[in-house]
Amino acid sequence: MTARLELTIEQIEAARRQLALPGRDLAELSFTRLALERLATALRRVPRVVVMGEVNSGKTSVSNRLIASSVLPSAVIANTTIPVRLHYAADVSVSLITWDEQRILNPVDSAIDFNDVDVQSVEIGLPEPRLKSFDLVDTPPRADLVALADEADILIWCTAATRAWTESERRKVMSLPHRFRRSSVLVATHADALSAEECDRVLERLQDTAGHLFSTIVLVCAAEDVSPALHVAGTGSPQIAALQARLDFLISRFLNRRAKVGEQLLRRVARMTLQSLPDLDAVSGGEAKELEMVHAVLNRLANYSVMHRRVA
Amino acid sequence: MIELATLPGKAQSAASMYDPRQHGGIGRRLEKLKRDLVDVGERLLTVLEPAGQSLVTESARLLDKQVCRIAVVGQIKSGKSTFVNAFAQMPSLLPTDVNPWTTAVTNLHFCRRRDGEPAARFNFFTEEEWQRIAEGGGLLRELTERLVPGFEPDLLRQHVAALKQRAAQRLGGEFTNLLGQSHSFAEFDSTLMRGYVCAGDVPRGPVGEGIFPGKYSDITCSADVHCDGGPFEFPTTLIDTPGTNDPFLLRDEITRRSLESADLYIVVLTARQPLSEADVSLLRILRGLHKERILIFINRIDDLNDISDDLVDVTSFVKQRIEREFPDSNIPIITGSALWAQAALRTDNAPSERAFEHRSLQYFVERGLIRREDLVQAAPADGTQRTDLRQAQFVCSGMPAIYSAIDEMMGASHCSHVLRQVSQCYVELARASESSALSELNHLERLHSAAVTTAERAGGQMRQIDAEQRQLEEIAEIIERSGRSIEDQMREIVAEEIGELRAQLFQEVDLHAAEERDVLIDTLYRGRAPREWECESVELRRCLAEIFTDGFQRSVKRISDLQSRVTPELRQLMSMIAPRERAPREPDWSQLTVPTPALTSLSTFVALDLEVSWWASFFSKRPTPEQRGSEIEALIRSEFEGVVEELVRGAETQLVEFTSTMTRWSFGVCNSIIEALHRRRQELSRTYESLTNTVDGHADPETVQHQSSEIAKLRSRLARCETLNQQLEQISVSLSKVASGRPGTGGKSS
Repeated sequence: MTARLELTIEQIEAARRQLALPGRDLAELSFTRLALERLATALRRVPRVVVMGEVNSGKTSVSNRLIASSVLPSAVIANTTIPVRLHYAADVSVSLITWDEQRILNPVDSAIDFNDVDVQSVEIGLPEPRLKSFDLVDTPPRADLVALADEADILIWCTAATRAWTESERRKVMSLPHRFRRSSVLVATHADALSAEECDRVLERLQDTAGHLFSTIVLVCAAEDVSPALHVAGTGSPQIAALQARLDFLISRFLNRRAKVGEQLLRRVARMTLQSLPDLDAVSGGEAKELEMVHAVLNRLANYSVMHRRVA
Repeated sequence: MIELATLPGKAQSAASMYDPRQHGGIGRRLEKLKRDLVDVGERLLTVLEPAGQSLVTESARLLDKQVCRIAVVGQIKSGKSTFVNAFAQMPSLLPTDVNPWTTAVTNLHFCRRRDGEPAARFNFFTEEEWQRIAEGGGLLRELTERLVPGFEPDLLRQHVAALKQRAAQRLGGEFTNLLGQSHSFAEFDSTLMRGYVCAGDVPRGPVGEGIFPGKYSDITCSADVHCDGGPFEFPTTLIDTPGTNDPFLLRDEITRRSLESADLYIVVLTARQPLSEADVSLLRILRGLHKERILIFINRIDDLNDISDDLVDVTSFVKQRIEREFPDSNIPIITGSALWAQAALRTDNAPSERAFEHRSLQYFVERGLIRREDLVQAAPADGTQRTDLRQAQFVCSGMPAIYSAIDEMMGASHCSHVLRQVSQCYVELARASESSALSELNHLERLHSAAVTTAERAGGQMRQIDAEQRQLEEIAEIIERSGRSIEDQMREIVAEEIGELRAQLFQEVDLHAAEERDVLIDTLYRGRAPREWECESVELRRCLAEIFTDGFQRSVKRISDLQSRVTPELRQLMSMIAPRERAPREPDWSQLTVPTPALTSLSTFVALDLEVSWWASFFSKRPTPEQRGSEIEALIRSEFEGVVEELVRGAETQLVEFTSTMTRWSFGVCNSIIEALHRRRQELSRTYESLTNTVDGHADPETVQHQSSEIAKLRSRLARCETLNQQLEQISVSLSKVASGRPGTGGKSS
């Protein structure tokens, strides 16, 4: 959540409050209020980071490192087919989402038979501080990538540095929406298997062959052990720190874009509402006063921009 | 890196005691049997008639040509080149690197060098190959470019432009003059190999004159290298390939085109990512074309975190998956690390650090190959490897297991089948020669004992002989005629079957294309349109392969039925000519192997891009689902037209060869008998004529002497045939042992 977004959301909330009273009589305003509400919710949404990659490319280890916790299991033969979504929560909570969109809270406590349940995904709430700034989705290797990518804002693609970038990976990444080109990270894992010179050459090749598909490329070693001492700093090595720094950068850039779009939408909503309102001349008396106030609020919104605000 | 302590006094002598190169002897039994056959063939020439002799010379030529081709395939970076280096016991011959490195198909030839042939030859692309590749290659791409603008030709063109630019940078602007040529060398080393078959780094700045890594790699199509030494004793060619699933699309294309039909395939997987989708589709296609001779090698186990535990998981995962995909296939699965083998083979004292990592050493200790107390943190005295470490590395590398597996598979391969056919042919000829010698002997001996004949008896016998001769001529004519009519019949059958096969294959293609069209239309109507519609053609290929094999086997059966009708007729004729002779043993015609057409492509997808950009939909109507459907149908049909034609062509060639071989062999045998008898009868009639001219009806002493010498010759010939038959019996017993995969005697040391 950036300062710019906060300001905009403030504006929206203020406008909603002011438009609540006169709105009773003006039907047009009910739609506007709905639009404003939706806009505020959308702007508040935490950015979603999705971690993808081929089988055994180190996705889960990278996910663990990004949230500085080792909650996700990783093994040499991982046959998971269920995506795991992680978000921030004050207390640890686990829910299973079934295919018919039912939510089962805390399945371990409840007395359900796991064989009967057709699990579509798992949602885990963790009190990890890093999750305050983003949600994380760890994908199974054989998932429907396009479907999972639809709800995500930032992509992290993992590939093993010792194999690094095959045609099947390229095709999969190409099938994802174009918006990821500007907000994605290519993470080459298992860098501990390479010497320093080999790391340079791998990076060079990745830049040549895959550079146009990602915003940035990082080489990491995401080994499993995460000691508690690293918990606070969230870094295990300079490479992991670099990855987290790039992710933070992408998140803030994403949020800025969102803020800009939010402001544009806000202005447009305001203008459209103004056009649909009855003329000031056509109304008289108490209604006229209300209408004037509404006009004033909407006019302010229609010319809203952050720069403007600062000057004012 | 853990350093090892050197035990005092033991290290020096121990290092000389273990040499991994003692392993090997692949194909030893087969080679010995081949040599025995050649020997027998030479001796057979002395007892045969000219008709039979030509068969023997032809077979000898065939034996000499036999080569076992082993292709090493797999995804990029699975360690194929390192594996080939280790397998061939020539560490660092083929260049390797952390990035995908191999660019050309390298054929390593063992035990095949002829005088005057260069040790190494690097073949460049020809003008038209270059053009075809430059245009992105393939009917599929042409079609998709026409039907679906914006597909992927941009990427391909980028790659091609990059390739040309790089070639010009490395070789100068006139590099096109080099196309179509080849460079030959009398000697080779790893530096030379690096100049031709590895990618090299992107050239930055001007390049020097001499050879540098990757100089000719952009234009090198393939390399032929003759190696001395190595673990092979039978003529073998090891084929290293660039690797599939390469994002540099041209290299993928090169791998597909250059892979001819090999006899054995070693599929190399990576332990960390075993059996990914690309691996599975490769295996499916190999299997679908009935390449039964597959071996799976799980490489790079040194890369696993906890080798002992993870190896168990990986191996069982692969076994289960293979069992599920190809039930009852018995594909051997071997695990190991080519890197360890390479470390064990190096004679210089600069082994790679990776082989001495803690994980590897830990694993060797757990396997009981090194003692834990020998791992001590101390600097090695002079870097010489301890012998037990070297042994541990080589044993765990999987190489010994691979050697014996390949030896077994070689014993059951096409080469061994050819050897068996040749030995059967020799048995036939020897028996025929023996029978005719026997009958001649009988006649002569009877004649000899009846030294005195009266003129009338002689005259009567002469008339008898004349009658027999006429009968013989008639029979010879009949045989020739039947031969021709049988040939015609076979030709007809072949044409019919081929037509039928072609129709069936095309029908299958149409069926699948229509199905795909319907599914696509349905999906589009439901509104669930993906951006790109990919239909994996593997299923269709498998169906085609099944139809093809069934159809082919049907044709073979039909021809065999004809043959089984013909053979008794032949036997009857034989009994007419020589009633006292043993009928020759009928050869086993069911041994014909299903042909293996060349791999046209390993992993093509037929894909249709369905995304229509928002501005395009303003200008043109969005194509209806039906239009899309017919697009995909047309795509599939045209793509597979080529495949079907190729399959049919392959089948036709094989069938024609089969029928002509069959006819030739059967009638070759008959003809040689007829010829022999014909000549002998002529001689006999001459003898009788001379008899009638003798004085007093006594035998002419010259004739008598001639007869006795003939008898002696025949006796010795019989004796030789006897020995030959015994030897051939032995050979065929050994051959069937080798073919059934049982370990033979005189194998390699372990």
